[in-house]
Amino acid sequence: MKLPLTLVEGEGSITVIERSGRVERVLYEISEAPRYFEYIVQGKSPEVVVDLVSRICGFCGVSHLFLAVKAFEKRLGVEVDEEVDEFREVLHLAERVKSHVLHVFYMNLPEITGTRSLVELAERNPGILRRAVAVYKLSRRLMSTLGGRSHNVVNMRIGGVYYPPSREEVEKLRSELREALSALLDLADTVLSFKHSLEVSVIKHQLCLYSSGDYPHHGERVVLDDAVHDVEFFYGHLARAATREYSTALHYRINGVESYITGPVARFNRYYTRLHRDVRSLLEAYGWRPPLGVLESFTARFAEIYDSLLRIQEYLENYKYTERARAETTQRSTRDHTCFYAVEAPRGILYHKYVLDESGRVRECRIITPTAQNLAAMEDIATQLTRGEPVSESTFKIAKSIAVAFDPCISCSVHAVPIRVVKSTSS
Amino acid sequence: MLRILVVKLTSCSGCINELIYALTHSDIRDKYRVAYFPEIEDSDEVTSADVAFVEGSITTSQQEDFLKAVRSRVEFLVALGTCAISGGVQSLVVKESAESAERAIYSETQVPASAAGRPRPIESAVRVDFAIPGCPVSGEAVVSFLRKYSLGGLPLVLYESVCSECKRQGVACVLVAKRVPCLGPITLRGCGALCPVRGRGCYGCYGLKFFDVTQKSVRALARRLRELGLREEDFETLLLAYGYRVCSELK
Repeated sequence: MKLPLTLVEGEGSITVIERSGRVERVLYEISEAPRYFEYIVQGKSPEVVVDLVSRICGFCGVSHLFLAVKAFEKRLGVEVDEEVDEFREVLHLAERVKSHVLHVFYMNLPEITGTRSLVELAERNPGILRRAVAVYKLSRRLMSTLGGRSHNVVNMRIGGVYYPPSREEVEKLRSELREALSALLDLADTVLSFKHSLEVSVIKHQLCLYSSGDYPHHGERVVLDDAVHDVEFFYGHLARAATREYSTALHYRINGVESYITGPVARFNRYYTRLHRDVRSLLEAYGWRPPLGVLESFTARFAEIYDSLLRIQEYLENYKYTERARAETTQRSTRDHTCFYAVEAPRGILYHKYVLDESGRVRECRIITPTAQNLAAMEDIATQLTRGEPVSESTFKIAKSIAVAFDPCISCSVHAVPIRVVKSTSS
Repeated sequence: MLRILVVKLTSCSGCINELIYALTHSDIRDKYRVAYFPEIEDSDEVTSADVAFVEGSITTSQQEDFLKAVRSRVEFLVALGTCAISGGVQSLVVKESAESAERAIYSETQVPASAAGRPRPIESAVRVDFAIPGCPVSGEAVVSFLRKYSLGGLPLVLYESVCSECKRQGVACVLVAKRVPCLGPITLRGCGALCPVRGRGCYGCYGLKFFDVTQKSVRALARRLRELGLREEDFETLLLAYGYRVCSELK
């Protein structure tokens, strides 16, 4: 039996495999067509590639762009000022806010409340739509002021940014941000009072970027449960992928066996204490504390929206960045052709790895998206909750709740099929 | 109330997010009702409607059939963004020829059956009544379309390049004054000169100016940009990525 998935990004469906009327396994069939990005970027210059990969996803384009830029900077030996990096981090946090707002209010709340859409939900509670729109619009304003537009931002490059916004532009943002923060706090009472009707506490393994200071953001080490690994080692040796007949997306498992989750719930559960103090006191006032289950992802997202906005606010209050970024380039040994990096995209760890050829063009590329990593866990959790039960409407309902809570980014997950290129396209 | 369908084919969801933005305007919500928009509407039934917005290019025969079914149910169909209009960045796979790409690529396990296919603009399968260019489209362009359509009109199509937007905003030409490689002269307007305003050269994401650009003029610009340091193959990649169809049909 099969049912199309709604309230998620991209095209997919739920398939339930049954044996004599009982659930054997739940599968998420991803039917979206792949776009072969790993192949497309071959033979292209890094400067062109960073903008191309931002097209992988309309939700998390900045994550792809920022990460590719960081990876190439490492390879080319480009040192950027801390100030420049901070600016780009803030732009990336704005994307986290935008993606989470869309997910929590436009996709997850309708699912939890059993309404068709946010607009229908707003017929009962008009304040929700008004306030959610206020936060959403602010996130777009942040992205367009800092990045040029609300996605596929143009204001980031290898070595820095193109244009630091003027103090006047930033001044305008500050007052809008204050209004959005107050709208968000008004929403807290609604969002944080929800309890999902289904209790799910089964999470076997959790993965996020390792961070020694702040809430995890970008870097080169991951932490799986309690073990810290080098990101290249993790994706090169521990996480193994397989395609499934029913899916154009990859499914990653640890050693090809155990599933794991990455994303807001994993980040929240491990690094809760790194969230802003105000965020924690708000959550605790509503009785929320780690660990969260996967269906409580809306709480983790709400916390991250609030935390990100507070961090962006702090940045904007102290904004004095006026100098155009000037990158220092040091000559790197040309034997080191490989570069990689990872970022905590809205839905979890995103990893890129590039191998360049002698002329500095991309020869090989590997991209691992959060959704490709979460798919196995989604299926395992949905199966575990329903296995052996008679196949019914509720099987699909549970499977759908799991899918919507994970917020799969289907366009992202099918950027490629697992490919190995035998023939290089660059001459 | 006008009813709208929002359809996604092979794409990134970036352009349909601009529709979510457009629908945050209360005057637009007063005039339009969403009949199909699976991303934000819990309904999978394609009903008849007034306007369909289509994002993405066609890469499978199922998509083509679906698109034709959508076309038969609506009065007016809008191609939303570069993928729908021209194929999108995924068209770069065709440059090396889709067949050779498939031959050159093999999977560790297997390529799913639905994976094959070369991206095509939607006009290859259905009639398109209006096109909003951009990778991604501008949210304001979508808002403008929805407002005007509800009054029985359409936005005016300006046959101009990005240069016109620089001139109107009083932005000094980055190509001439700063010697920054810029694709503005041959790129469709509509972004508000996003990049030149920030001192960056246009990289052509609204697509090649289809109505008057010729191979000769493209070559002339390519020569100048090469002198300024833009590699020829990078130039070609940009043209194909954001304007595959127009670029491959240049005379």
